[in-house]
Amino acid sequence: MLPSVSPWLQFTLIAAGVLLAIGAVGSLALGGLNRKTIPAGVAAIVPAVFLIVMPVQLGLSADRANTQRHDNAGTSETQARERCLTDGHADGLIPFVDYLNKTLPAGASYAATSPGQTDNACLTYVLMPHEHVDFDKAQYLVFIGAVPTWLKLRVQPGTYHTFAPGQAVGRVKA
Amino acid sequence: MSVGTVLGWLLVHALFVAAGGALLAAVGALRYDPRGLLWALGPAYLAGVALVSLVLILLVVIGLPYTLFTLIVVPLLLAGGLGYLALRRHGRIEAPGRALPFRSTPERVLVIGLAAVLVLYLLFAGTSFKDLPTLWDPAHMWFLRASALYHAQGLDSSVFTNKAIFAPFHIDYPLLQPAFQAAIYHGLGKEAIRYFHIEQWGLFAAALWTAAWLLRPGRRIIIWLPALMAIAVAGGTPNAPTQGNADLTVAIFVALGGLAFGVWLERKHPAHLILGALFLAAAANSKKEGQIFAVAIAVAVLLVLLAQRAWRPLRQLVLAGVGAIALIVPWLAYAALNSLPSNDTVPLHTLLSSGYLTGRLFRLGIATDGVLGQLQDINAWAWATPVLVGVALACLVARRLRPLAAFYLIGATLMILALLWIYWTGSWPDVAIYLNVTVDRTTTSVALLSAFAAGHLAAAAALRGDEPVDEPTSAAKAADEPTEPELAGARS
Repeated sequence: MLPSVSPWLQFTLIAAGVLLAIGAVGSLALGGLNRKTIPAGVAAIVPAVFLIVMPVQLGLSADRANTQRHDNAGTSETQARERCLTDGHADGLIPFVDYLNKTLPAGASYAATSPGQTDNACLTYVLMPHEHVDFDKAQYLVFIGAVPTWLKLRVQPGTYHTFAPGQAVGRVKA
Repeated sequence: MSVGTVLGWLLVHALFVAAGGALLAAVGALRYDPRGLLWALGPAYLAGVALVSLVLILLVVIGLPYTLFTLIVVPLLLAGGLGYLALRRHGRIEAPGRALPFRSTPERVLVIGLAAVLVLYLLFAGTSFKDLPTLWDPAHMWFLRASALYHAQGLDSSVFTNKAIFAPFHIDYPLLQPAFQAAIYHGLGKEAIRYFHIEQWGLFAAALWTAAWLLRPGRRIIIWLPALMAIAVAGGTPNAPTQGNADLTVAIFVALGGLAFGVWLERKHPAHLILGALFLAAAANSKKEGQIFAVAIAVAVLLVLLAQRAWRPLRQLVLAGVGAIALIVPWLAYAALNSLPSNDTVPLHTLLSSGYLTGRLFRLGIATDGVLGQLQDINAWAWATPVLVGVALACLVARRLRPLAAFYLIGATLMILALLWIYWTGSWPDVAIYLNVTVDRTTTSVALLSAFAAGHLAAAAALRGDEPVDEPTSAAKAADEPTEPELAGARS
């Protein structure tokens, strides 16, 4: 690597090096640069370059793959799915999400008071196969954060359940 | 893992192989002997994934349900129809031949050793992906949409329809990978979000197999195998299956489309043209970059054929292009008709507005450094692109394989320019961060195509050393011959 040289120059130098190597093989090993020896040089240099480059890459890639194996060993399907909550700094939602997945009826639709626009897709993913819809189409309301009064009024009495502070769920009035 | 899961897995893969195998047979690319059929398994699978997924996208766009029944019927109908064509054509089209024999025992040992190392590496890396979590982008786009397709049995899910919630998450992105992922879920009978990373790696293994299948006939394996191996073990390759993004999926189809077109330019066998068009259609349905890259490859072929005045191949290319466009249009039409927002593409009127491009010229320099820096990084892409540039220039200087060298050089250059355009004009405010989080993935297609192309040029150069210099009309003449002149020369 040539860290002080700009990337486009490095790119050009490598390409030029390959070209020179082809020329060198043609002129030195095959007796001159002409329409026969240059293709022969191409056929010699391409596999040679890749055979030289490959062993180091193989070692590095195998090591990276092994790191992935060790770092993620034992991750369950649920943990794998809920990773976006962790990455979004919403680990606190994981027990609530697990509760919702256990208690919402199969195929139920829900609307969520926003945990923020960015997390809506993550929430949808972790609550699949329940369907994330608009408030006027939802069978259940999932409250994350504030509980707007106007929305709480839509919940069927007796179905509102607070799981934790700022985390609640209720069935929409029929 | 239950017996039902295993049987379901076998079923869904067998369906892909059946549809793809029938396509290969219909275009005259199958050799009807045990070895030939075994060799065709990989390309049949990949062609099947492309073909079946594209048809499934068409079906869900027109509103048909995407169920296990659909998944079984569509490949069977495709296999039946294409199989019928194959039966009618059997014997009339020459199938691609075998590799040239080894010249020495050390060459045989080296090839077998390299192939064994490659297979072991692919297996080792694949098993390393078994417990991977769903990272940010897949959870917000790719895996999310696959799960929605699977559970809603089509596009009737808020994930595809609720712009208020999902507009920020590239709701207009093409659907091939989610459609394929949903097919795997249907086969397994459940979502398997950790396992799908391995399935993505399997697609890549099938792509290497397909590249080998395309390069093998009439050539020496030792010349092209190192290029495939180097890119297979390159550090950048496992990124996409590790992350679960669609970058490797699009790269597979772009690179195989480019390689198939390259082989077609050289040999004029219609099978390569049809496969090239199919793979590019799949690329365009995998990611938005795939649409631009497919156009880049098509323009490169077009320019070469125009320069050769090869009118008959040009007509064939136009026909194949129409077929590919017909497979690309459904999702684009769906996105347009439903006004799905494209929040990462700057509108044309903004691009053309005064000072937009010139005011962002500084981004072009940063993008050039970022893109070329990634492509020349030996630890990312094993020098594949600069090697291709050097080799193509050598061929052009020597006036050997000029159409092929020009095609690959133009194709790769246009793809790089397309990437630079994206970074220059893209909506991300900070281009450095934009590059930092994407350039290792967006360069995958260029690198994979470069490796395949370098291997192809080298293998073709090894064959053509004693042949006459390319003349402008030679390819046009060759185009009128339905046989494979290079193969005939090689066999003699």
